[in-house]
Amino acid sequence: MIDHYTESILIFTCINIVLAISLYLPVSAGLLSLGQGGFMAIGAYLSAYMTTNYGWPFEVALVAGGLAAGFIGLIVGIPALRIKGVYLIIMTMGFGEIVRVFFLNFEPTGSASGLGGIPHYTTLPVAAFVAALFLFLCFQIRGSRIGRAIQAVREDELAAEVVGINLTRIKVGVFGLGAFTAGVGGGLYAHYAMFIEPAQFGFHRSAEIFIMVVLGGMGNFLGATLGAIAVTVLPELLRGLQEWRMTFFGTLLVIMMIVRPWGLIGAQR
Amino acid sequence: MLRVENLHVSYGKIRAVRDVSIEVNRGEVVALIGPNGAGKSTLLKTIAGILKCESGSVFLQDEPIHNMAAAEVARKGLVMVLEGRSTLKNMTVIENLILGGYMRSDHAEIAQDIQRMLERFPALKARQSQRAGTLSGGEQQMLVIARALISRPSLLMLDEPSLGLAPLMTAEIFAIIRELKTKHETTILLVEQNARQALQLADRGYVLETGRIVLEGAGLADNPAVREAYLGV
Repeated sequence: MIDHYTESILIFTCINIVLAISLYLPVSAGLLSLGQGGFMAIGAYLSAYMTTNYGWPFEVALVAGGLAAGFIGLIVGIPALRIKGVYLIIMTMGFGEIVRVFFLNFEPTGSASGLGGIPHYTTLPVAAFVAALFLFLCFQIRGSRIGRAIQAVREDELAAEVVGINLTRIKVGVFGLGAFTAGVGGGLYAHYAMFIEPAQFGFHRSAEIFIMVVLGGMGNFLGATLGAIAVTVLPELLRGLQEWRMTFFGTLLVIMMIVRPWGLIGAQR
Repeated sequence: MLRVENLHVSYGKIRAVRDVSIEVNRGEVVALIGPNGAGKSTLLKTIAGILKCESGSVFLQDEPIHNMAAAEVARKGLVMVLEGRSTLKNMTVIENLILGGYMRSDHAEIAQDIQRMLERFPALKARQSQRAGTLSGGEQQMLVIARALISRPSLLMLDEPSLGLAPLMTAEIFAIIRELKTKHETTILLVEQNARQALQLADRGYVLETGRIVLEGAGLADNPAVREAYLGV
């Protein structure tokens, strides 16, 4: 059997794969988000609150958390239609902060002192199963009619529109689906950490998810997966460097972006 | 088939199209010519739903389409070929063609149409699994026209299809349009800088200058004013 430490790294890897996919989905239609931490928080808090206080079954709570995040994602996704690039990043950042501050002040979920006593439901098989499910979903989307439409929207919105692709539906849909995925990822996280507080879902979390996707390669969900693995495992492998480890990790990122700006996986364009 | 009535389009304070009324009947090829900045592309884009009009109306088979989004207009059968090689450059030739069938659900027939296009355009067939961005300008223009045809438009609008192409390629593109007209009786609204060839090919024409229709009708190529201004004779 694997030891506790390895198991925890593997579980975090699976959770991070889910989170990376949550960003890969909107990115595949050209929508960059630095607010996935916010959607993650919604899923984490809702599912944890339900299992802790009402004894909901884990699966139900997980899906409910995802749906709540996805619903909010649809609402946030509508203005995302009008703004692009840097402006969209700023907007999603603002959204992430709103969610964090909301939970910081929301008494029922423990406000600043966090929500504890969450049952430990996220085991390695569960996390691996959920990650596999989302990978399968991405695999199905790619090469499908919808997948091609998403790619067309990312490449050239005008050209996509004239072949009859409904921009609104594709963009809002994919943004909502990404938010749903982040919500489920948040639920998994909450039931592994067993204690959650608003600070865990702040800007640094969103940025971490962003790094995974950029590092792995934005054009490909396998890239996002590899990015998630790298971001989880590399800092652990670098533990020998002690306090220099994050500095070294940062340096690796810089080198990576110079040498392979298109990511670990994905063609040079 | 297509009826545009008193259309006004502005970019902020600049009025690009003023009180334009045009008509395209079924099976006709209509050419729209005029100097740079006359508003030809603006007019086409507005008809296609890409730009919003200020006032006026556009009817496709008696149905008002001037408030529809571009994708909806395309679904009504009015398909536009954008200016300047609007292929999806990182997708393969085949993927581009498949996207042409995005609005249709008869998969077997889409596959047949794609095959037919590949037979018609051997250059595309030879490069079918290459990225569209690696094709030459003329080949990309063919691909875009083929893609538009796969969506089986009831009215095809071509915005400067020969722009920036070598003379041989220009001739090829005009041959394709002629073939569409004679063999398939496709209804076409054609915007062109290349006035001579466009007017030769078209059943009728409109001349647009600074946002207004100044001349219209059949046989524009023989009109002395047009000959002097656009044909250089």
